[in-house]
Amino acid sequence: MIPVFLLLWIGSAVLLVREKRAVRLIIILGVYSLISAVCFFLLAAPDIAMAEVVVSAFSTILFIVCFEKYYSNVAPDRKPRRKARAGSRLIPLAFTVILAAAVILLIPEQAPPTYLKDLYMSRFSGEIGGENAVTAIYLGYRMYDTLFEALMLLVSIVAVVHLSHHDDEAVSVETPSGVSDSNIVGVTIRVLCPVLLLLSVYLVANGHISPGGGFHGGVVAAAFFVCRYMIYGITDMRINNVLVMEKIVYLVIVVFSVYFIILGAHSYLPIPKGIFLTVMNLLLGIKVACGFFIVFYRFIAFERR
Amino acid sequence: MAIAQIVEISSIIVFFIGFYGLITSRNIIKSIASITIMEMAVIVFFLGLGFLDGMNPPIGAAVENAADPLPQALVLTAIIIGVTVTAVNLTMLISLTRQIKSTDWDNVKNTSSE
Amino acid sequence: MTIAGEIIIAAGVIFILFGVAGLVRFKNFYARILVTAKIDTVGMMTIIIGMAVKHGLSFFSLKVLLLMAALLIVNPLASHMIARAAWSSGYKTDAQTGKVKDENKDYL
Repeated sequence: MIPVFLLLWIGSAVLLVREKRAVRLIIILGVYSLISAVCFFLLAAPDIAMAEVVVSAFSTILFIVCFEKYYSNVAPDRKPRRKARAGSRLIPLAFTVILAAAVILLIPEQAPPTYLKDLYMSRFSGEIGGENAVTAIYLGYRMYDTLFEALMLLVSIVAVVHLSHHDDEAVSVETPSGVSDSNIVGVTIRVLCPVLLLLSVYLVANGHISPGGGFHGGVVAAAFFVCRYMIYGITDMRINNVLVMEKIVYLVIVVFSVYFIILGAHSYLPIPKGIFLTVMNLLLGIKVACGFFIVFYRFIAFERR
Repeated sequence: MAIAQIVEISSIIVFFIGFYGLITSRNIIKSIASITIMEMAVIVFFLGLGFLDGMNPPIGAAVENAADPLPQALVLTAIIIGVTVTAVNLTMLISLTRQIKSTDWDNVKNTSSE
Repeated sequence: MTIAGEIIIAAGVIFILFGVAGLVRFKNFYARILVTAKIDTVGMMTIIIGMAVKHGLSFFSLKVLLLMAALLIVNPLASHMIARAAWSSGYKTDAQTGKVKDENKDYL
């Protein structure tokens, strides 16, 4: 089963690299992400597979919005493509093949050590709580990773906000194309929107006992806001409040995790251990949802000429 | 051949397919897609380390023959970071196309030299 | 119960196989989307029902059936949206381009 999907995976990567047209490239990228999600699932990582599915849906939306925005800027290329020399394709190919062969030969033969895995698997339920070992690691044993990852998210969102030219006029004028005049889509999305929000709450609340957690739930909640944009537009949302809220939530995450994990309140306070994980998942979910919503908003509100 | 070795070799192959796309592509959006390809390959490599056939997901307090949860926890954050990096790249692409009216790397070189 | 579930799953796979055959056989965009929309929905639903039958009455099969309800709504919606976008961006049907002689041309 695994080799079959790995072959499909390699094949879709080759298709993606050989494709020249941008729209097809975006669609094949979505297919590639889906096949890699199946590979993650077969490699006994349902958490990663879920994250990949929700994130690839979101990144496909970003690619499509980006294509729509730059398509109006790009002038058609009239000058004839200069003829490629015979070596211009062959030399990079040979270089890549030699490099890949060298790396494959350098893989160590023996399996990696498993003492850390055995330690975590035997202890996480008593020390951190919950039943999902992945959640117990990224919210307990490796808290610093999650903190700095949240900081990275904050920094990338600041970069997106800084690099994009925001134009309030463009937002208020714009109506979501193709949706507002199709009655079927409008009604169906109105029905499905609350279900999406319910799904994100389910993912966050069950993050410590089943696959899921703050990151997945946050992206699904951001997808809820995308659907909301498709019905009503986003003129009624104040983006500055969301920006401030994201920073406050990050501060709360830092304070909370320092108090519970690093100062050790987790071990002596008489609260059930699942509560800490649920609250942390909730905070992370709010933060990720805010971040992805800001990215989507800035992409939509990108100035049009 | 063990399943872990198959996974590792195919992920290295995919990584270098993405690398080839990165160094030969003339379209900027294809370069961004190639970065995504390389990222997925690294993730599969991490998950394949020490994987044996018939392993269970590491969920449940007393699961037997579980897969290694540590690379999974590390990789989970990398996926979320990856999509925000893609978002930053795409933002820069939109700003760039406004200036140079093209998505070709050659035109980028021409404008920056003037 | 297990055998019945597996038979239903096999039927779903055969449905999807027919869909792929149709995708290869038809050349026109609208014919292709007609085939894939129906076959995707029916095949996926059959596979999901087979999985629910295979696992019997449990929380798992309840979740899977909820998934089927979501698929039942979303899948035709996505096909509708793709076909609508193609139509509004100017794809022609075979009858319009004149490749196929259509008796109902006047009614289009």
